[in-house]
Amino acid sequence: MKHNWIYALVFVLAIGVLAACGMDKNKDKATGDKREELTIGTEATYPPFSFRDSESNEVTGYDVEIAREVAKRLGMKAKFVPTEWKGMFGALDTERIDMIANQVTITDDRKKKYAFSEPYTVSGGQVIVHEKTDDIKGIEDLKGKTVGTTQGSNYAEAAEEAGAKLKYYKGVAQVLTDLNVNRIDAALNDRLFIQQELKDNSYKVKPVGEPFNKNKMAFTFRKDQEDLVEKVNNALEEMKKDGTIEEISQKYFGEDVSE
Amino acid sequence: MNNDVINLLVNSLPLLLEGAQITIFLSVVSIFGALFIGLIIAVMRISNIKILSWLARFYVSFFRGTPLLTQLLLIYFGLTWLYAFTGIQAAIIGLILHFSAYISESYRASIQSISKGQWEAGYSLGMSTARVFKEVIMPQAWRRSIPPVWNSLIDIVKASSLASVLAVEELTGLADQIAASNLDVFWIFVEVLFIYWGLTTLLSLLQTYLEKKLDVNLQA
Repeated sequence: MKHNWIYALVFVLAIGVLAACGMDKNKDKATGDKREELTIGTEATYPPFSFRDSESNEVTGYDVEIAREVAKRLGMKAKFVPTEWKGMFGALDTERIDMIANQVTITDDRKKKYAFSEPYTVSGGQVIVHEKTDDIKGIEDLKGKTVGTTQGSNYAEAAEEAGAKLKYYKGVAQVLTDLNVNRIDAALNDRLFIQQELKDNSYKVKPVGEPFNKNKMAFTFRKDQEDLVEKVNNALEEMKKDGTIEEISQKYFGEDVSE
Repeated sequence: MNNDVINLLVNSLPLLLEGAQITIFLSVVSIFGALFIGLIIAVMRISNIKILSWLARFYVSFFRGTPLLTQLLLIYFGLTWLYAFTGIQAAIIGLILHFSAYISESYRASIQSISKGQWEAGYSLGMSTARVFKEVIMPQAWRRSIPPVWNSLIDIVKASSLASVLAVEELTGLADQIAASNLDVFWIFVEVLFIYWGLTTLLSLLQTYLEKKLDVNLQA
């Protein structure tokens, strides 16, 4: 009895190790020399840019579709790796992903450490508040207020500059939930996200003020990936010329957001 | 519950069950790994060889005394100079290291709860220490260890949800994605909690079965 028990343990442990090795092989294939696969980091929790479609259960969205098309034009298979925002650059640093497709804003700080493709979205930030809030009319009123944001987002920086206290969340759904019950005073997000996602759901929140900080968003790479950046840029230019980007943009926003 | 909620729950189910498969895989491999490593640590801890016992104390102190989330982040993001583990590998390694520390203590408590008389009886029959341990103590001790060890096994299933921060698409990770896409946090997490509850209930049933079958209440 006792012996059988220990043999069973060893047996199952061995299977576990074998299974883990099996996964390892897949990974080698992904980062191997032939580079048949382009691994792309994306949140999958940021509609309409990157989210899991509730009907098809596939990861999709504006960023995802553009990245998929880029990979196709590079002759590579796109593999999306859903990653929390705060772990996104870490995943890029540790070479678990080849690029980030998640509305990454080009900033001076990020440029010091990372390489960017040509931008594929131009947008701006906007302030959201609870619909009963009337003392916050724009980003200039955020001084001393509590603002919800995800860790490491550039909206966190903007809110800090405006003198707000920050509260960090896992994703945008959690930020909105807390704003809805007044646990935070305001949130900042992309104006496109706000226009698209806040129209048809039950959150009691409203956008206020004009969009601020015209932001340019691009695919993000490590500095040592110049070759890949160049290829991606060529693909993006091609897609701009033949109208592919505009087509995807119209599908999600009803306007061309790439310029 | 209106129709929207029912649709949400039904539509998300297939994807959540896919995530549950990953959760089960992580849990099963980690459970057997932790039971096995835990046994080795427990034997080291009670052995008379000072260095082994000291190493086991150090192991338990470290892995029981630091947060699993931090351990996972270290293995996944911090050890890349050693080897870039996939999220699943890092999660399994972390869960095994962490919970084998707890499980070894449960084993130790059970072994030490067997009365000294049992050892003495073995010795008086001319048995060696190893033989008494193997044939007299362990058959009694591991039965007693079932209730405390099972606490750790159930914890492993729940703690596997932390793998979501390592980009593993297990139950909690996928739930997070669905919640964000629908911007609905409440119902998705209710659904997910029930799936976890189902999984841990299976483990509890196994515990009840084992306790009955092995007659854990048998007095030594």
